[in-house]
Amino acid sequence: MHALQLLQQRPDLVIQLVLDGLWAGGVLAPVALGMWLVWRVLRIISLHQGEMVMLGGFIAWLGTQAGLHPVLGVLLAAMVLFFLGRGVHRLLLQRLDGADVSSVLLVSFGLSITLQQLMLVLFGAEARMVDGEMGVSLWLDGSIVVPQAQVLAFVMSLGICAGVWVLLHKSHAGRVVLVVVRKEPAGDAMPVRGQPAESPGALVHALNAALCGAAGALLVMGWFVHPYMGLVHTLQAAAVMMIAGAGGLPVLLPVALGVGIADAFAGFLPGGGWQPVLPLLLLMTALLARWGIRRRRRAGLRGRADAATWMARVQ
Amino acid sequence: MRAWDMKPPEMRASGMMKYAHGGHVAALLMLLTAGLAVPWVVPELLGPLSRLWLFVVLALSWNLLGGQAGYPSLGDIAFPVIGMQVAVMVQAELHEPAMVPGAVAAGGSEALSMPDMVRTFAGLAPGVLAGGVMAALVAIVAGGILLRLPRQHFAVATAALAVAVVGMGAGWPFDSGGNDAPVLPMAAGGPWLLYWWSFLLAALALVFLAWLHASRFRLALVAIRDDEDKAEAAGQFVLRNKVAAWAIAAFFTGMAGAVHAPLAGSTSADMAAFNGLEVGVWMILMVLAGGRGSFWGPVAGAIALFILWELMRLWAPQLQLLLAGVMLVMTAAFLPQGLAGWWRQRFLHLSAVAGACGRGGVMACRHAGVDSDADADTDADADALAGVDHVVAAGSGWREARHV
Amino acid sequence: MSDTMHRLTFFRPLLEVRCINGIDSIGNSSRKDAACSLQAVSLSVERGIIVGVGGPAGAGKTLLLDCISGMRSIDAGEIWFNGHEISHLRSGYIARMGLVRTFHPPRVFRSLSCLENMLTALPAERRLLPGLFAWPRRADLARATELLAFVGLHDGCWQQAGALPVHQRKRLELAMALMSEPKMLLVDEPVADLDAAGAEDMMELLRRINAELGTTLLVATQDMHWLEGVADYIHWLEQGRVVAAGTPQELGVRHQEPV
Repeated sequence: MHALQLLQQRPDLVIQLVLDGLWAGGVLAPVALGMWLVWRVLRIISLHQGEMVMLGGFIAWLGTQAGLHPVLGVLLAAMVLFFLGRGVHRLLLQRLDGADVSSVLLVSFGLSITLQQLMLVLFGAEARMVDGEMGVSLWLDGSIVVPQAQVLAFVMSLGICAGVWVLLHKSHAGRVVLVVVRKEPAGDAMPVRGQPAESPGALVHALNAALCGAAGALLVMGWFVHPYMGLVHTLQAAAVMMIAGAGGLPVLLPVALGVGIADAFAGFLPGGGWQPVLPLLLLMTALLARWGIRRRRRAGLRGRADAATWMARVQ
Repeated sequence: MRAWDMKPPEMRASGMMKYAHGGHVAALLMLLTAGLAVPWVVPELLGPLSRLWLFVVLALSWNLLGGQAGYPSLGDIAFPVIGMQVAVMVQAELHEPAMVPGAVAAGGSEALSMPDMVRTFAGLAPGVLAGGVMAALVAIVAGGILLRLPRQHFAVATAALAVAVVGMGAGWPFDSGGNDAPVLPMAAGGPWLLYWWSFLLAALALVFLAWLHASRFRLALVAIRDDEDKAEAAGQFVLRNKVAAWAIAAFFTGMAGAVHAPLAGSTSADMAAFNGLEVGVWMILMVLAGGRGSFWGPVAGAIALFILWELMRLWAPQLQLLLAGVMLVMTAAFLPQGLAGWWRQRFLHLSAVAGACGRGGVMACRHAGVDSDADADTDADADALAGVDHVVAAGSGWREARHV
Repeated sequence: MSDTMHRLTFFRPLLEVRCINGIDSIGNSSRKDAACSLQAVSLSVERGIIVGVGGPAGAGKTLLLDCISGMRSIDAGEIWFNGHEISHLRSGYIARMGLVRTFHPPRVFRSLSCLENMLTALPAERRLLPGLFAWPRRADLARATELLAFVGLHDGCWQQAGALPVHQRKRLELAMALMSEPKMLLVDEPVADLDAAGAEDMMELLRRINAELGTTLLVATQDMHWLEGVADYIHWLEQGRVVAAGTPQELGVRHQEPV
């Protein structure tokens, strides 16, 4: 309880944690958006999401090593990952036409392990960061530290999300994707339909990868990347996606920010032991919330049902 | 008159041997005999062989929910961690006065007197059992919630469960953080003792899961994999069956973890639990490469990949997980039915649909007394089936079709 | 009506559907999308008869079966089966109460053989857990083969259900439903994809199920002519409403009246 007392005595610490969490959540938002798209369109949960973030971070880091500005690094990472995502779709996922759900899932899981280990072998386990030579803002007499790189990354991240969302609604290809999104959800036991290359499937995979790459590049701007970070990012993005449900970006974004803040506080609470449990707790919460909503809706329906029956009898 | 009001055919001896398929029982017995004989043949391989038996247990258990019911759990590695922690806790509680600090498994095969042997063996038992039971309880509670999810969501949630358990495990009282465990008096028996424990556990798992594989429980699980909505609409207890399958798997995996703790001489959650995620990946790969849903597929996969695993540990330890990842992708994408499916298509000329089922039809053949492999049995049993002539007729028809 | 009266099941129809509105799977209310929803549908099914539900494609026949069997929730109204309200029960409970349905296209467990498919469908009390671990009994196998023969699958016991042609899968699904000793069977599109001879056989089969096994049937199909041959009472659905109901003779007479 020591940490809680500390939080009570130092409200500036709370503000600091909230700001940190907001930043983390902002960078999480594109990852969750990509995952949401893949889930809604292809009915696949992409388990190598976090590894693509990591890959994007490493690409941006390599770019800055070669003298690229970090903002251009975001562009570079997004572009490389776009084609990578397309390639993965072409080579692997497209072949799984009519395969059962677990095969697709295990391919994705295997991809995540492969990417993680590949980067581990190539670059080693240490964390990489980018020094963008941007300053640090100090608020409240220096008790709150806000790196400007994080502010920039946060704004860019929200911009990217909004841009993709607008693009989905305005462009022709985006509308094609949205039509599939709004379609009636297929049953879980049904085989996953592989999509031909020109269908939304390829586009959605590539877009998802690009979003992840951009998120990774933004992450490396204000924080760091290392090969083992993928799983936690995947789990957090999945939690955001499951909590947000069918709502799309307007729901995803606040949920992502909330998850980021929750993560920041969980890391601060006693011993840091709560941070690994957080994704599980979030997923469970999402599930229970769904149940609650369903039960309430059902109860509401029953009330209306009685009225309707009565009306029918009167007539 | 209702069609099934007719008297069923005379029921003769309905014991296990009556129905058991000769080939499978023989293979099981051969495997177990080999397990009994091997420590005397190659005593220097006791350590790896014990781990092999534990891997067989892991693969078979994962196959239950992940293979037969089609609910791939990515976080079954949580159960060995739980089993290990609970086992050490219980043993420390029971044997505190007799605790010998520093008596660790790594100390080679020092000779123990017989009473010592019995004492340590008995001392390990309550801990191992408690570990398995606790893991099963966790599976029941977590499964009651998580198994309501669609199967992909379930997979993600189990990964989260594993992260949570392994992450929290680092803070548990008996986590040694990768060092020599302070409380492992039972490890004093050396490799022999641990080999027998692993073997006993594997034998139990093999026999019980072979039984289960021939029971209607497997049919219920395969029904869930094929069409869960239909199974629910036909009135099956879908959720309960899934939870039961996961609990059984967790019971055996938990016990495997409990046995592995003294084997590794350490109780760290991320180290001794078969190196954390690593074994979680290999365990899935073993089932996938062997053949999801069949019985012998996971066993064969466990043996084959265990050899590969040990070789990689010797030659290129930093590449072994990379290899696992690549193999996972390749198997899932290009050989989804694994070695068992390939075998079935290559040698038994069964269709891809048949490949998807585990040995579909064979079980029913066996239960009807129609042995698809031994014609003599068919004749012997035919008279027992006077009431269901067409079973035999159809059985032979099926057999002919198979040999085309 | 009081609860006591509701429980006097003997005097009441086996299945009563009272003024239900179906909702589509996304959860929207039916009124927005009138083309594929149910509006104030009522019908009742007496014990031991064959009731037909007819109507053109998209009239809501399958939706009606979905609602009755609990696979979709209803927006309004109530459904009673055998003296119990089942309006808001999950499909598993409803099936275990003895109201079993079939699907169109037929759904069987494709990687199991026919006989194994039958063994998954033993009556509800045989699905409890310790019993499920046991191996199949000879009596069960005998009954399974007998029922398979009853529906006309004499020599298909060992085939993969997924490899069967559609008309045989239909029969297998019927046999599976019968295996669980239902009080009532909801049959969805029994003659779709069948030729004339097959439709004739199916009519014969449904009649035999009704007569020999005493199972009440609710049959939904597009084929009005076929339905008149098999059903004792017919409800005609159009655009989610019951537009006509009566015995085949009544409906036939009405059809022949000049407009």
